[in-house]
Amino acid sequence: MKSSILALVLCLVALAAGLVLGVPTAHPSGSPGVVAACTVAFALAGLLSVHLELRRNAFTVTPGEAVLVVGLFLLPPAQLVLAVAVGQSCACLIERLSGKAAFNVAQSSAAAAVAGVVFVALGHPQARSPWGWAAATLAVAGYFVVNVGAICTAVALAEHRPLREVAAATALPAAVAASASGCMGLLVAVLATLGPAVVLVAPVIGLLFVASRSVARHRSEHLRFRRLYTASSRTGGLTGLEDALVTLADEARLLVTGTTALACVDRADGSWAGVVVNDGGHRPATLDELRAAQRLVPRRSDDNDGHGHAGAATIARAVLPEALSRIAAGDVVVALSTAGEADHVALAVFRELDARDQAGGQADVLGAFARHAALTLANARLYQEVEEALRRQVDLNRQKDDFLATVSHELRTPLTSILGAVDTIARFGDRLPGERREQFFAMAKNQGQRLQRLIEDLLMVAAADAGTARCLATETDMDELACGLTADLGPLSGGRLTVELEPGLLRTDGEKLRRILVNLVENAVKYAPEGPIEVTGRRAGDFFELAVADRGPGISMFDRERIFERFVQLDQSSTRRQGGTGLGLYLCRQLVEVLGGTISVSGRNRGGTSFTVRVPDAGPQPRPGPGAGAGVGVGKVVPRRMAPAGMELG
Amino acid sequence: MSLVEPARRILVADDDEDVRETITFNLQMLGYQVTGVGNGEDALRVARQMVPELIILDLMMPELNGFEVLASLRGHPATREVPVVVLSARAADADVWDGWKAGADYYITKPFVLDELIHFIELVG
Repeated sequence: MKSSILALVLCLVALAAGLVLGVPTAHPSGSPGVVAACTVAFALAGLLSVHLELRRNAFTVTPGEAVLVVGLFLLPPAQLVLAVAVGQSCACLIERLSGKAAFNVAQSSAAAAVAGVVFVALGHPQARSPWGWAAATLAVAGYFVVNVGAICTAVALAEHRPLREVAAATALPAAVAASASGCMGLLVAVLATLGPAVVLVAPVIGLLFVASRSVARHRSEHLRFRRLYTASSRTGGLTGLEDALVTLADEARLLVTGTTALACVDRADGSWAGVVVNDGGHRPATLDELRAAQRLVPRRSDDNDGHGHAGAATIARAVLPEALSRIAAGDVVVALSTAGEADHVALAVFRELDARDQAGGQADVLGAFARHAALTLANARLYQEVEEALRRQVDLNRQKDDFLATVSHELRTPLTSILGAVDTIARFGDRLPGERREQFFAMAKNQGQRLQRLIEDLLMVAAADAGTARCLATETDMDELACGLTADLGPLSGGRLTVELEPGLLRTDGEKLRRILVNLVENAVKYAPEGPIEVTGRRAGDFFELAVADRGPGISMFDRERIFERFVQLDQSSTRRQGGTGLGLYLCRQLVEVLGGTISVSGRNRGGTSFTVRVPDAGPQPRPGPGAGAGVGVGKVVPRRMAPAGMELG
Repeated sequence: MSLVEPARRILVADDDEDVRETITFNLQMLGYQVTGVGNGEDALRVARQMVPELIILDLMMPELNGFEVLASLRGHPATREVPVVVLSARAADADVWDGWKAGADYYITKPFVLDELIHFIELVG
C-alpha cells in the first residue's frame, strides 16, 4: 500500500478514535446482544452489496447506511464504531479483500464515529419523533461525507488526479445510493418502534433486498453483453494499428467500467506496441508497461481459451502495478488472446478503488472482447502490410519508368554526335577541309566508343540482375592495369589521376576489375571536380585491396547505402553536368560480388570519399591434367599440327 | 545562291560540345553567323545582348535548363518574338508537348537529321 494511503488510513483511525474517546456520552450502553446483532448486521451489509453500473461509473451499494441508522438509535458512538469495525473486518475477511481491508475498516469506523457523534450532539432522540428522523438523516449525511471523502482522497492519491475531479465523478451516484440506503434504514427503525410486527416485515424486506440484488446483477450482465456486442461492432473495421489499439483499449474500458485500460499487441518483428487510455486521452505505453504485459503472455499456454481468470488477474495485480505505478491498481481485469500463432493481445482494465470484481463475470466478457481484439489487430496489421507492399511496388514501377527515360536519353546523346558527324562529312564531301574531316571522324569514333561502353554496361547490369555473369579468372598484371587506367582516364580527369598498384599478378577477372575501377574513377571525376584522384592497390593476405579516393564534397552517412542501389544518383536535377545512368555503383557492386569480393565506401579525414574494393586472389592456375577443367581443356595440350588426323582436341 | 544575303545571326545553346560544333560548322558553311553557348545563363545573356534571329535550344543544360531559358525569353519584350527550335534527347510525347507548351516554335528530337534542322531555319527566314 502506498505511503500516502497508509497515512490516510492512520488519519481516519485517529479521527475515529479521537471522536469516540473525546466525546462524552450519556446514553446507556447497549447490551452485548444488541452490539453483536449490529456487528452481524454490518458484516451482512458488507457482503450483501448491490453492484450498479451507470454508464461509465461502477459502484457498489451496500445497505451500510441502513444498518447505521438502526445502530444510531440503539447504541452509543463507541459501541457503534466497534460494531462497524468488527463487522466490516469480517466482511472483508470473507471476501478476501486483503489490501483494501484496512482502508475499508478505517473508513467505515471514522464515518460511523462522525455519524455517532453528530447524532449524540443532536441529543440522541428516539426513533418515533420527526426530530429523530432529522437527526438520523444528518448523521447519515455525516457518514456519507466522510465515506465518500475518504474514498475520493484515496483515489486522488493513488491516481494522482485532482480531488475535485474525482469527487465530481463519484459524488452524485454515491449520494443516490446513500440516500436510498438511508431511507431504507430509517424505515426499518420506524417500523421497529411499532413493535413486534416488524419481525414479520423484516424477512419481506430482506427478500425484497435480495431479489433486487439479483435483478441488478442480471441487468448488469445483460448490459455487459450488450456493451460487448456494441464494442465489437464498433471495432470491426479498423485498419490502422495505432487507431485500432486506442479504440480497443477505450472500448475495453467502457466494457468493464474501468478508468484506465492498457492494450498491447506484439508486432511482426517481435517487439510490442501498446497504448494506455484514460479519461484524459491516450498515450503510448512505456517500455516497462510493455515488458510487464509481455510477461503475462506466456501464461496463456496454460489456458486454452486465452481468457483471463483469477490466476491472470492475480498475476496482473502483482506484475502490472510495479510498472503502472500511476494507475490505481484497486482492481484490474485482464484478458489475453491470440489470433492464430502470432498476434498476442493483452488487455488490462483498471477500475475504481471501491468497485469489486464480480466473480470472474467481467473477466469472461473482457476475454471475449480480447479474442475479438486479437482478430481486429491481426486484420489491421495485415492491411498495413499490404499497403506497404503496394507502396513499394508503385515506387519500384516509378523507378523503372524513370530509368527507361534516362536510358533513352543517354543512348540518344552519343548517337546524335555520331550521326551529326557522319552527316556533315557526307554533305560536304570534298569541300570539307582536311582537319575538319579529322575532327568529325574523331567525334564519330569517340562517341561510338562511348555508346559501346554504355551498351556494355546496360547488358552487364541485365546479366548481373539475371544472375548469368561469371568470373572468368585470368592472370591479371597489375602494372598493365595501372598503365591502361592512366592512359584511358588521365585525360578525362584533367591530369588529376594517379594510379599506384602493387606490382604482381592477381588471378581474377581482369576485365571486370578494370570496369569496376573505371566506373569508380569516372564517378570521382564527375562528383569531385577538383583535387587529386588516387587509385591505390596492395596485397593483403589472400586478398588484393584497391582504393579509389577523391577530395570532393563527400557522401553523407545516410546516402552511403543508397548509392549502391539501382537508379540512384545523388544529384538528380536536370542541371547536372554530365549524364549518367545511376547504374555505375550498382554495377560495381554486382561485379565485385561476381569476383567474390567486397566493396565499401567511407569518408576521409580531411574531406572526400574513398571506395575500397577487396578482391580475393583465386590462386595460381591449376596444372592441366585429367579432370582439371579450369576452362583450358582436359587432357594434354597438343599442338594441332602434331595431332593425328581425325583426333579431336579438348 | 545568286544573291548574297546578309548573314543571319543564330544562337546555338547546348552543353554538348559535339552538337555545338556540328551545327555551328554546318550553318556557317551555309553563310549564317553562329554563336555557341554551353549553359542556360550564358544563353539568356547572349540572347538579350545580340537578339538573334533564331535560337537553337537544348533542354538539359547546366545553370538554367531549357525550359527556364524559354520562359525568360518569352517574358522579355526584346526576345519574345525570336523563333526557337528546341533540340532535345528527351523524345517522349510528353516531353514534346512540354516543349510546345513552354513556347517553342519547333521541337526536334535527337538524334536529328541536319536536313530537317536546316529546312526549318530556312523556312523561318
